[in-house]
Amino acid sequence: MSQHGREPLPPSWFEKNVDLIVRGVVGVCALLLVGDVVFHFVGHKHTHFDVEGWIGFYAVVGFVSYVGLVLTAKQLRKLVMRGLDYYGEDVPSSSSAAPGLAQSRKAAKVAKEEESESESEADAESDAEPEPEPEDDDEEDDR
Amino acid sequence: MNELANVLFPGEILLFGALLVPFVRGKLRSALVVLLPLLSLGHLLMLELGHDATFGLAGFTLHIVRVDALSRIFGIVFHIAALLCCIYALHVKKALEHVATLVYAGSAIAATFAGDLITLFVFWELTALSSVFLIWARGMDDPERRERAYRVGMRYLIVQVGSGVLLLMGILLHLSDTGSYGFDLMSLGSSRGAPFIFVAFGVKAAFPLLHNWVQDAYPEATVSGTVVLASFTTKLAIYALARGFAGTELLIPIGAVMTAFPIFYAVLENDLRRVLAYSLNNQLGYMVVGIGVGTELALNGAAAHAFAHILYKGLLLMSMGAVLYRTGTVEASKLGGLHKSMPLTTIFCVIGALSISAFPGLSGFVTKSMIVSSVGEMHLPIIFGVLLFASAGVCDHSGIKVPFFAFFAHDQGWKVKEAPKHMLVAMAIAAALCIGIGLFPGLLYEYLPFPEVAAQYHAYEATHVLTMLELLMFAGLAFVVLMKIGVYPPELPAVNVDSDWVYRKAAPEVVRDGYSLATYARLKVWNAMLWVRSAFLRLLSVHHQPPRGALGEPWSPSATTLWAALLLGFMLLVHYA
Repeated sequence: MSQHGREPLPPSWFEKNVDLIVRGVVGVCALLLVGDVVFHFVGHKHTHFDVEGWIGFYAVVGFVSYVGLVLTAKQLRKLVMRGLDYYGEDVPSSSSAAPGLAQSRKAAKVAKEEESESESEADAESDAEPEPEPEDDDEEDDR
Repeated sequence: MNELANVLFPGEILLFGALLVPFVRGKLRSALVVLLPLLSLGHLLMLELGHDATFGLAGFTLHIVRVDALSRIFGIVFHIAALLCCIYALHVKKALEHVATLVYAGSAIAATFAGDLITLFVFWELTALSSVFLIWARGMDDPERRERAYRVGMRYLIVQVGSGVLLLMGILLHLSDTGSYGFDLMSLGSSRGAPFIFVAFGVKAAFPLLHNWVQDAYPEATVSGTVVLASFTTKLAIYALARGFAGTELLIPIGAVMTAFPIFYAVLENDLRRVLAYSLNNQLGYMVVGIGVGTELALNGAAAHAFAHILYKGLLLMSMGAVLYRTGTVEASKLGGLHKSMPLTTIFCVIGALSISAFPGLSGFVTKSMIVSSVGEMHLPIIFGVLLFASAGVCDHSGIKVPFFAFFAHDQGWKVKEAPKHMLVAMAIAAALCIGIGLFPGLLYEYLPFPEVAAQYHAYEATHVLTMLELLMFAGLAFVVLMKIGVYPPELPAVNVDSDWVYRKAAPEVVRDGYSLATYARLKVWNAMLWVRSAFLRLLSVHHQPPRGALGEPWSPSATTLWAALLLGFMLLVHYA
């Protein structure tokens, strides 16, 4: 896993107990829903809008908003993502062991498909050049 | 003693104290830069509410100091931020950054207490001129980044000074229309100058499409420079809007877009300091909505949220600065597992993340809710919905993404030292304040613009705690689910095109290719331009009747000035991009 040719530190409590944490989150969510149901019948909700009073309204809003946001953003990548040197100002990061790592979307895709790093990068580098031109046009149409 | 205090204007100690910094070294300098904000804060607290001071200059009477509840709360938090920034930056050897920080903080504070528009303009410009050195300093430290830092700094400076030019034009028009240059509540229609002033504030408050200088410049500053930058300029603009345009309804939709639009980019961005810059934009949106609503509760909320925001945003940026300082990168794709080597920084970052997510018990919870409640009271369902959506969004990019990808996720084999002591001290103070405000909101509420209204407000009301917990925990659950099924988008190093594309890519290309020999690219550009031209001509011919056509009417001098200024500013940007 190490990018730096070093062994990672021994696993911590968090890394050993991922399942426990996940179960904890699920458990807390379930408890909150139970609490919401109880509060709905016992207490009195102070709300500004009627829908706010529905059982689990905020739970649904939280979950749906989050999933919607992340999935929409993921699609947005198709429109807005460009190579690191798109503006001609890229600075090779001194800390990076693999400076050309996934320079562009294409490189990322290629790297994902085939593990052979050096080859895919060379491809991506040469492919990256002509790519911005057609994409620019997309951009103009969209704006 | 009080008389002495009344002679000085707030921020003066920082402005002039900064000049001493280059002449002392080592421990003495460290002591000086920490002492100056403390002294200046003490000075501010000695000034009584209602204190005014004027100053005659060239036939004008400048209302240089106005201490009221609104200016005081911003003044106090600016001082706390200045103190934290100075402690955090103690590792910096060069005097330049310290001087820039102190002058920048001092001018932001002085601008906050400005009672007239001319004083505001002077310090408004001084914040721009002093802060750009925090960006250029990165190029001085790292020769590889010199060119990039220079260009980013120039772009930042042009936008900032451009905002100042708009402000000046607005002031002059406002003066000729109303005969007054006092900095008081106005409306968009109160003079020909008011819209200029509004846009000038809007540039610095990062209104949608005017926002991109924040994400362009802030992540490019030094380790401590980013923390400093994020504390002052945008919040000064929030103060200025609250002072000048409270209750301007146009601010409500503007703010709502600000809360929702940047979070999509925050999800995608790989540079974690840039993620925080997008999230800063989102947080400003809440404040802008509050100012637009303009009720006493909403204005309290905007001021309180600005106060809390400066602290938790500073805390998050400080933790990322510490990561950058130790590892040399803040790219999510290169980080992970740092909680093992930087446990304290991790804890502070998580406190900041929970605060910005408005988790009950922390500062964001007791401040943001005032704004959301005020929107509910105005019965604006769409805006209310957008704010809820954005709240779940904050939970993703700042609440989960930043701490998760930096400190947890996959261990990338980093073995680094914990953050330096002075950074830990600054983070500890910020974290303590986040918790303190969260647990004892009354302490903050006392200093709000309308303390009586604030005293009536109870953040820890059962419905509110339950619903907020539900919202956040289910957003967290969504993250867990998306990670488990492998749908969460991977972190990729990339440039995500935003509105700066217009002046960093499109315009330079048009200018360059427009004058070079015929090429493939030039043809493309010409085609696009021809299309635009024909569309424009169509627009002209359709709307040619003077009463109806937007372009058929004669232009007023103020509109002409605005367009000329925008065009000139744009040319400058293109030149340096």
